Amino acid sequence: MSLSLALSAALSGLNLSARGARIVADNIANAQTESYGVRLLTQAPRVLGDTGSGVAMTGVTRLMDRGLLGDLRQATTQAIGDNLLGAFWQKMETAFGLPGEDGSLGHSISLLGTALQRASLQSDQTALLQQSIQAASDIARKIRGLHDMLRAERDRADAGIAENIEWLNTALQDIADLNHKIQRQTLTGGAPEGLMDLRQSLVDKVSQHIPVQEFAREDGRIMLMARDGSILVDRDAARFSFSRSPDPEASDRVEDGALSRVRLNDREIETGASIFSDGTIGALLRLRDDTAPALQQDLDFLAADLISRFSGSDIDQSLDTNAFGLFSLEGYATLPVALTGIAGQIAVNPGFDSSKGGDAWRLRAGLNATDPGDVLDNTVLDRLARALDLPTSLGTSLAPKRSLQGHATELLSDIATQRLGTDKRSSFNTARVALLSETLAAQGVDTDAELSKLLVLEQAYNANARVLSTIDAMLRTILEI
Amino acid sequence: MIPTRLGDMTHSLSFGRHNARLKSTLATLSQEMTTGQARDKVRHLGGNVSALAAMEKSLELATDRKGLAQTTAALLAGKQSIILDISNRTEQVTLEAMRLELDTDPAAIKRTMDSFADAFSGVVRSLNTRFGERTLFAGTRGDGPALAQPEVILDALISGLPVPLDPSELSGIVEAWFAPGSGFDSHAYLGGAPVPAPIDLGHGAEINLTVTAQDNAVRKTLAALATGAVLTRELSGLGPAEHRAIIRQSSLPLKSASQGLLDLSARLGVAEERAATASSRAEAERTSLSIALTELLAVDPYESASKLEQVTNQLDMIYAITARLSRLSLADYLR
Repeated sequence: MSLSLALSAALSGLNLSARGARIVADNIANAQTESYGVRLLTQAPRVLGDTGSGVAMTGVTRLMDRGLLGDLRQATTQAIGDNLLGAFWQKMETAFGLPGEDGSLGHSISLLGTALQRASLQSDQTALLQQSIQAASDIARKIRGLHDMLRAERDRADAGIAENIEWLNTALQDIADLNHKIQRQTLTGGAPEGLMDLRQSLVDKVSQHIPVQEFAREDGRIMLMARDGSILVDRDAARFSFSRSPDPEASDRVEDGALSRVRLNDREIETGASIFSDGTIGALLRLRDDTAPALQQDLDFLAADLISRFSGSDIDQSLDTNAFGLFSLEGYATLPVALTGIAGQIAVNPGFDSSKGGDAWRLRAGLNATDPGDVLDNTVLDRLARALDLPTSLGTSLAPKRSLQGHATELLSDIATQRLGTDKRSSFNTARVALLSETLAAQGVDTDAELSKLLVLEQAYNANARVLSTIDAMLRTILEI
Repeated sequence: MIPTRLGDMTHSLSFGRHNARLKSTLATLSQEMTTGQARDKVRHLGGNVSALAAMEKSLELATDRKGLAQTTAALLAGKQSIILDISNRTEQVTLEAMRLELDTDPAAIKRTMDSFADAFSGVVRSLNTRFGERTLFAGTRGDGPALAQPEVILDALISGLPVPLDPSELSGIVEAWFAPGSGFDSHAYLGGAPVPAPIDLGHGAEINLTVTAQDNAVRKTLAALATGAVLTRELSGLGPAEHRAIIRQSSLPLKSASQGLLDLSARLGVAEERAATASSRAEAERTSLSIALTELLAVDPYESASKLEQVTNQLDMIYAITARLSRLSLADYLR
């Protein structure tokens, strides 16, 4: 009887070696897979009714440091959100252009100044007058281009939010499904580890969009909680909703309902709520509702300053008070009270533009002059040239007074400072993510360790097989009596 | 538990990161070495671009001012040469008038009168000289002549003379005609007001191009010459004796006119000098600003070169280590 027990013990040993080899194979096959938790075979002596004989597999453990994983997810959420904003600032800085660079706003303003001075010296040269008008038109075009870029960014942000929300809903639903499957597998004694790997990679991707925290539940299920305590996945998945507002105008704001907020289970999420404090959705919302509109306002103030410098009868006596001078707004007669979005309408006054039926000599004689006047009368041109350097305040009267070039440089400095700030944060984030992911990866599959395990298993298998053949020989000896 | 395992991915992640970082540093350093300027200018300036903007603007202005100063100097030189021409003609006529002190020959008197007439036409035509597209002495109406044709002016002058004419009053009447607010301004001067706005050449240097044919020196010169020129038109009650007397009396106004022209020339000369100074100052400013700009954005080439060397060495070592570690696999040894 003890021989048969010995036989069963040897068999259990063989069985364990075989399972161990399978685990090793799984591990080595997934050596390069992300979100893979190393499988570990746990064994214990087999106990059958208070006596032990042989070895039993007590389970397969999936090794994953939850704390480390949580930290890595948090770092990733922050890094990706910050990178998005950083890219925006970089784009704006490049679009503005550095002083002295061809095509930059600052350079265009300088060119207008020098063109007007040259025209003032030789105001009979139509070519010089046209050069000045061209320089002014370049500035207007540059400002319009920046306005359009901001508008496109807001539109893209809105589209991005819609896309990400849709993906998020699908992902949360998938995680809830996986939860069910894993629970079923665990309860029926199957192998849920593969499903757990899938679920982990999904949660990793979710954490790029919205900061989440994972809590372990019984039977292998998890609960996902957002930063403000809302439950995203428990037994069922939460549902986000968002309606897209295509191509928003500069004056469309989320406060007045022109753009929509994100809803969680039909409850509206306020702007600046902690649920979206990091991650792509939060960054896109901030971009659409906060960053881009603020920059838009600065641009609008700059455009208003540019227009009002040349408006009215101080420079050109043929103009009425507050009538547009060198720069005008398409579709308006004077500068409106609400300045939002005017940067997109700024243009050279059509009275000077020969392609729109205007005349270049009006730059010298006055917009509403009845005749070209004396060709060397440079009164108006001289005033135009000096108008650029007049110190004015942007927006409120408490703002410091600067020339037009000064205002443009100030705006560029703001953008540059923001860009440098996001760059610094980004390098910190990247370093943190790198460190955490390396530490996590250090707990991953080590092929050398697996192979040495395999050696041991091979040895164990040989030994058990030897035991089996010896027992077989012993049994035969007995049977041959 | 003492870890007995170090994941395979650790090495690839870590080396990948180092590799990427070193390569991007390599790219930045090589660009900085070749251009001598920082690649990320904004970062180099610490986010404050106002110094850069101010320098670029000053550089642009200095370059422009040089051009403006050169054009202004050319215009002033043009004016100066016309004044010189007028001055020469006036002096010549003055000499001829003085010769009549001793000469009473009617032929000589006739010759002198003709010289006056020639000089008058010459001066009027000279004042209508164009520099490129603009008449220099026509003020704001630079696209047309400054003065009417000499004959037209004399006709207008003669029509304003009283009949009968008292020879001793001729000089006075002609001078009054050329004075401001009289017949000269309404019939002879075709130009406009002096050019209103001065040219700003930087650092407070402003140059006016306001001299027109209505300048007092020009008026006096034209008046003195016209007094003699008008005699060729057969005025009633004037014979050779009266002609001689009038011509002899005109030597004083002629000398005073020459003095006036000299003063005008001096004024133009001062303006020319200021234009020349402004031009050289703009050039100097431009040079020093270019140097300052380069220095603002410059990166020490020695430092870049040594960093570049360091980075290439580090990359070499990373490659060597990666190659070595890839060979260290238990699987190879278990064959």
